[in-house]
Amino acid sequence: MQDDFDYKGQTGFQSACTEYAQKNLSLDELFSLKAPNIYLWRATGGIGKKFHIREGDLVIVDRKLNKPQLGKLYVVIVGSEFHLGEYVQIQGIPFLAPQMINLQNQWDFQSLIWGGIVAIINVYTRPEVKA
Amino acid sequence: MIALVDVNSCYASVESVFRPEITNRPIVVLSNNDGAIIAANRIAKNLGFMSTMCEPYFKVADKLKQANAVVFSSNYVLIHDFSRRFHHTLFNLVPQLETYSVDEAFCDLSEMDKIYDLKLFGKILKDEVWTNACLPCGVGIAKTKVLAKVANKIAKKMDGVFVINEKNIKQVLSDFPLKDVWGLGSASVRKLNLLGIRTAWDFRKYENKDKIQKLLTKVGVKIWQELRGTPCIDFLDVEEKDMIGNSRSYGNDIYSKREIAESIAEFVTNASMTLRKQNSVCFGINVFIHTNSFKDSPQYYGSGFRKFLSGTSDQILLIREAHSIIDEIFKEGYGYKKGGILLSDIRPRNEAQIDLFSKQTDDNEKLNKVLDTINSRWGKNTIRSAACGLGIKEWSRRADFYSRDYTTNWNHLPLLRIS
Repeated sequence: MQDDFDYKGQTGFQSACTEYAQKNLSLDELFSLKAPNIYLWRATGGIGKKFHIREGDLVIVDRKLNKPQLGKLYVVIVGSEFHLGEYVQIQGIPFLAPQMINLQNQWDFQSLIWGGIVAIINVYTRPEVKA
Repeated sequence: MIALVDVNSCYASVESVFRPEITNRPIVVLSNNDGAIIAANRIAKNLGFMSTMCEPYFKVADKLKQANAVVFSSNYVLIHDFSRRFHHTLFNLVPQLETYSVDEAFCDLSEMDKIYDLKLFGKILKDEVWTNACLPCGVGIAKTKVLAKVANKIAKKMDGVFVINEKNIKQVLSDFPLKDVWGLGSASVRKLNLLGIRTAWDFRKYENKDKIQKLLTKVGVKIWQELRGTPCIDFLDVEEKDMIGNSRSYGNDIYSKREIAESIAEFVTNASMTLRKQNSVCFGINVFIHTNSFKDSPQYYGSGFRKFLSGTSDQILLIREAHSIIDEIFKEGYGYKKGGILLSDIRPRNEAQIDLFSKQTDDNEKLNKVLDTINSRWGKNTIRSAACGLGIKEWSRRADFYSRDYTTNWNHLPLLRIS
């Protein structure tokens, strides 16, 4: 597909800045959306005030981010659902908030975690998508 | 050394990636049109009442319900995306990769045994596939492809990784039944049994090469040599297909000739596209249609064949020929359940001799090229022959248990709850 508009002036000469042409910025590239470990999710269920997440926002998830790191956000497996959770420590005890899943005796962090969150895109005007 | 990596119950495994609650339940996946069971997870297989795959679904539907099983239609869109993630992951880790099928890949590990502990490396492959693609897999490592297949079978029964080396090969092959050796059909096994060969080890030990050549032809000799540790199935030596088929069970029984003709045109369209992709031509086409053999209604099986004097890959010509076969074999009054076509006697385009006396030429070559370019850019079926019919088809596939296209459709993305 033709991504770039090929500029040629009316004179037939190329613009003086042609040789400075760079590739267009690409969100796909920035977030490695084509990598085998990257997945797109959709946020649902009201407003998560703390992280400014709203219904319908896009969430970029990396399966490789499966190690506990303080202050990071994770996709947490809760029964048949997936919930947003933050890895916190309260008085030295590790928790997933806001579900308050105590991780102290959890030898297997990875069995609770589906992946780590790379970015959240607040969608203000939802682009139309063909059904 | 060569590693064979393959996904455990791939079709069932992808369905549980975004459904954590079903991982401990039996999962089965149905074929096109929900006709037969084509895949099942370990738990479903252990139920024991599906003797083989391809069990008609309606026969076991009640039992599956009782066992609290989850049933899915084949979701090829989802499979394709996870297959991409699977192969891409391996591609990043090994020097050379041959994608053997949707859920299987051979990895060339030449020279790597000098640097790495192969068992450990196999474990890395397995863990990375799980991390990236959320799929469980087994890894078999050995000197040749046939041996890697053996190792892979054993790996599945153990912790998922198995390496065949000089030390364990005798034990491993002595316990390995001949019928499970890659490439040996039941007829070959019977012939070898007559020679007193029962296990893979017996076969490997057998010394009379000429006898093998005589009994099992060239293919048998290749398998025998591979079992002896001499690689002779080349890497990336992907055989060009010598037959290309396309067939399908219809969602409902079809009674009208027009609809049969439309479906056949679509099958020809798909198959001829594959033919042109590998830059080949075919010299023959088979068309068949038949009724539902599970139904207690009049049965009919019709098929016909056309041979071409010069090879062709021309979609329009092939559709015309297929339709002339339909004119001959279609009988009114039957409910047709399945139809299909087979392009045969396939040869590379540049080798195919041109018949000087034939009026038939491949003169639509340019048109076909344009068709393929447009369809590969804008999606399958952007432009197609009107012979495939317009509008909604009654025969198009049935998929009552279709899951979601979680990774390829903006409207089907998995949901993350915020509270």
